[in-house]
Amino acid sequence: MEEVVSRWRESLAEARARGKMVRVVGKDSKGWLPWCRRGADEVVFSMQDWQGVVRYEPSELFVTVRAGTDVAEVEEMLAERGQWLGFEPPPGSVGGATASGWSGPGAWRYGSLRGAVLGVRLLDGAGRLLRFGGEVIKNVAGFDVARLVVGSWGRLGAIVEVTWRVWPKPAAVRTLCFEMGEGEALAFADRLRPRALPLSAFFWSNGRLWLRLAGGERAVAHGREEVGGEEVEEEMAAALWRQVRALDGEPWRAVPEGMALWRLAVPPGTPPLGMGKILACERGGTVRWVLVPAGEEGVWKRAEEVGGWAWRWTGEGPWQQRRQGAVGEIEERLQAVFDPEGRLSGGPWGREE
Amino acid sequence: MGRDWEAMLSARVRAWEEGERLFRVEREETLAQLRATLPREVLRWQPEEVAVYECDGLPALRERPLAVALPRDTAEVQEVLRVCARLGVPVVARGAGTGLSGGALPCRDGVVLSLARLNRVLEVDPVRCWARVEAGVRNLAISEAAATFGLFYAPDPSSQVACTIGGNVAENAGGVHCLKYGVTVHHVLEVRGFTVDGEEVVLGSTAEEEPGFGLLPLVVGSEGMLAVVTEVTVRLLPTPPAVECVLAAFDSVRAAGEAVAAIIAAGIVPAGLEMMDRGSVAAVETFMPVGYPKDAAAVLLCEVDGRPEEVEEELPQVLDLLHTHGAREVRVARNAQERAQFWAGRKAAFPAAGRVSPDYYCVDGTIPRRALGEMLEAIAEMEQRYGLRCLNVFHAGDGNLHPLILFDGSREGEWERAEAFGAEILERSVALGGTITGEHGVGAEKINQMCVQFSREERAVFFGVRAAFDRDGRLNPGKMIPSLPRCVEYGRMRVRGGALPFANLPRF
Ligand SMILES: Cc1cc2nc3c(=O)[nH]c(=O)nc-3n(C[C@H](O)[C@H](O)[C@H](O)COP(=O)(O)OP(=O)(O)OC[C@H]3O[C@@H](n4cnc5c(N)ncnc54)[C@H](O)[C@@H]3O)c2cc1C
Repeated sequence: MEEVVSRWRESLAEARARGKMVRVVGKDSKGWLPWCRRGADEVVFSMQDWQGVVRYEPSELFVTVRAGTDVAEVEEMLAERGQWLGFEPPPGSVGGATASGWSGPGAWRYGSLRGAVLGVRLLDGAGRLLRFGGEVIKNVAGFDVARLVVGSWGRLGAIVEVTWRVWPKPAAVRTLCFEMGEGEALAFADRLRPRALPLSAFFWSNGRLWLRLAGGERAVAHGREEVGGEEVEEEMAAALWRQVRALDGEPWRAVPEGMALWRLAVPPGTPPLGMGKILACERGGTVRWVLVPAGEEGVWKRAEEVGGWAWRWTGEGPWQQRRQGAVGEIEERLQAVFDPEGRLSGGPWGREE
Repeated sequence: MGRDWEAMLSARVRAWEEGERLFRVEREETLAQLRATLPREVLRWQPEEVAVYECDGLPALRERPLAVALPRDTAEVQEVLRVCARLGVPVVARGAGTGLSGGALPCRDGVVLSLARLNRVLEVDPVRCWARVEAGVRNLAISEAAATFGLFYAPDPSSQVACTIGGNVAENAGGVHCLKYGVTVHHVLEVRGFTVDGEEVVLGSTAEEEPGFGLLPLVVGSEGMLAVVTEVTVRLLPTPPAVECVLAAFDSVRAAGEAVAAIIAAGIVPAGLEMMDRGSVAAVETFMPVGYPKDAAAVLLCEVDGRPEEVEEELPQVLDLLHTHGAREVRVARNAQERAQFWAGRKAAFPAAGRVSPDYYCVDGTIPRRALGEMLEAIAEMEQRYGLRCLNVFHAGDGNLHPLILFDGSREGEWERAEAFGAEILERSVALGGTITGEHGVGAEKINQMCVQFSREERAVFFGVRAAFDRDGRLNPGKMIPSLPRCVEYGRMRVRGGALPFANLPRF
């Protein structure tokens, strides 16, 4: 640990001396995202070599891992004990997944990565090594800074170690496919939501809805009968969910010239937005991927109108808007608590003056 | 702004390092201004009117506030906050006052802001599966309102008939079903309210994720120190169609603990998993006989729920594991009524302690479950040393312990002994890799133990986070974050008293 701490302090000192910013990177698996491109005026701090599982207690449902560890490695270890990360973090390093706050398709059932974080160790912009939360599931001592750090993209500091809650792996998993349009799929989601079904993932794209069931053998068999659809062959289904989880398919990586990809988070029950070209819907329709002509800025407002918010995924930033008013000011002040000199860069918000 | 804030923050941190902040309040002027702004029925200030607000569920800590405001709507909430902001008066929000850590303990020169009258369920949406309610709505009332749609609100603290959703948000309350379903933070989508200056804030989002920093989880569990919550949108879940509850009796707490570990290791996450030791079983049986086996060293309640097929699959596995791990008696509730009876005993454990003893003090540490045996032995030793009895109730699935220390407050020095006993349990929890509070919060009660669990730098961060919402620290002052001199003093005291049991253990 001492080595990482002193390396971090050196990076901060170097940045200070040369009037630069510090950017934390893990495995650089998100380097394809525009807000993860490194600026020329940045000192890069890599967590890549800070690897290893610190503690894993299957019967206490947690695992503590160093930030540079590969998510896949953690999952392999859990699988040996019949457990998994229900929220399905993106591939890459554990620290990167946590800093991005992304969750995969399983979040529909198991909740987000943010909910699964029990504790973090953080090196902040003032060079302090801090620990918040812990390794137990029930813990309310102090403000929940561990979950504040989730999704902060390195702006509050470098995540050094993370404790995640884990789940038993469901005995049976089955994926069903339905031919249906966007509107029909969203209406279907509305009918499924209030029912006690063993659903674990929802993904619609290009005229097809994929539903994943997970649970005990019999529960899944019954669920399958209740919801209908065509059963998808296991390997093909696994490949599909892997792609959705890594955002590694056409909708995300093959954006046509002159177009921009947007991600909208909207309340459940929101009908089709009727804006641009809908590429995909996730998590019961609360995540929408939309293609609009580049430079079309009406998306921000449209998202707000339905009670959600927008995230520009390609092209030039800012990729996300900071909240206005009192909340926006609170965010700025919070950042200064962890990064008093304003040395940390990262995240889709652009840089404030 | 950046620079100013930075300068302000470091000045504030320095002040904090020097000692607790005292507010200079013009009492008469404050009362006069409140009375001029708000109708009589919204204000209380006569001693007999404010007496019931002197404490929360931790009656050992008491303070009489300057006034109590009971606004009827959010506009009045904002009025109260504005008057207090103008005059620099501290404010303590309050829900039902069931908190067990003195979190709603008033401030002598401050105003208690009760949200109890904001008690309307604004909306239950059976398609979006959420309920939008005012902060003063009782926890159970949400599930009651949702029941007609076959939905329920999962976090179910034992105090759910009385406690408010605003108080649940402030404490990140748990319940007996939180191992499987999660605690309050996992079920709140959006919170609306005001900063201490009366500025409106919306944190979180009904779109399930929030843009920017995660402020929602910061406010959940913030013990009423970051914002006054007036409205909460919570997620509702489909009511599981099948439920089975098992009661198992063991000859040792250790064996019961091993059975719990085996159930989880087998891939089952029960909806509820609760344990009571011999003393608490006896207390419950005296107070409210529900038929717990009184001669058992530990009684375990294990509930599985879900679809009928799931429950049919899991129940036999659970029964099998209980038997192979030494349960000498295993009963499955035959019907909903018997199941309710199994739970009634557990939910009555605290009041039962109040029947077998004039007073009890409920402790709330969490430990890694593997350390359960060690912790119980330590508690048994402490019972001897402090000369007080202790009953043990646990949320066994997640290692959250509720030792109930029995004492008689009318006897000289007994409360102080009980308090020291509790403090030692909490500090032992930290040493074992756990935490000083699993669900009841730090409040005024565990403020010294914050010095043990967190470093000076971590405490400075808490202070900074607080100041980002509330520059002067007027909202619920004196709670959760100890000042530096307090920790120094507490450290000295522990060393002097020879009560520093883990001096050579590295602290994280
Ligand atoms: C018998 C008994 C059993 C209990 N069982 C459990 C249990 O199983 N699990 C559990 O987690 N807790 C339990 N508790 C503790 C308590 O019920 C919870 O902490 C509950 O969430 C407190 O709610 P309240 O409305 O009574 O809040 P209060 O006690 O009034 O206040 C608690 C804190 O919240 C703040 N607050 C209240 N309302 C607001 C608001 N609207 N905005 C901002 N801040 C606010 C206050 O300032 C204070 O800091 C139990 C208590 C008792 C007496």
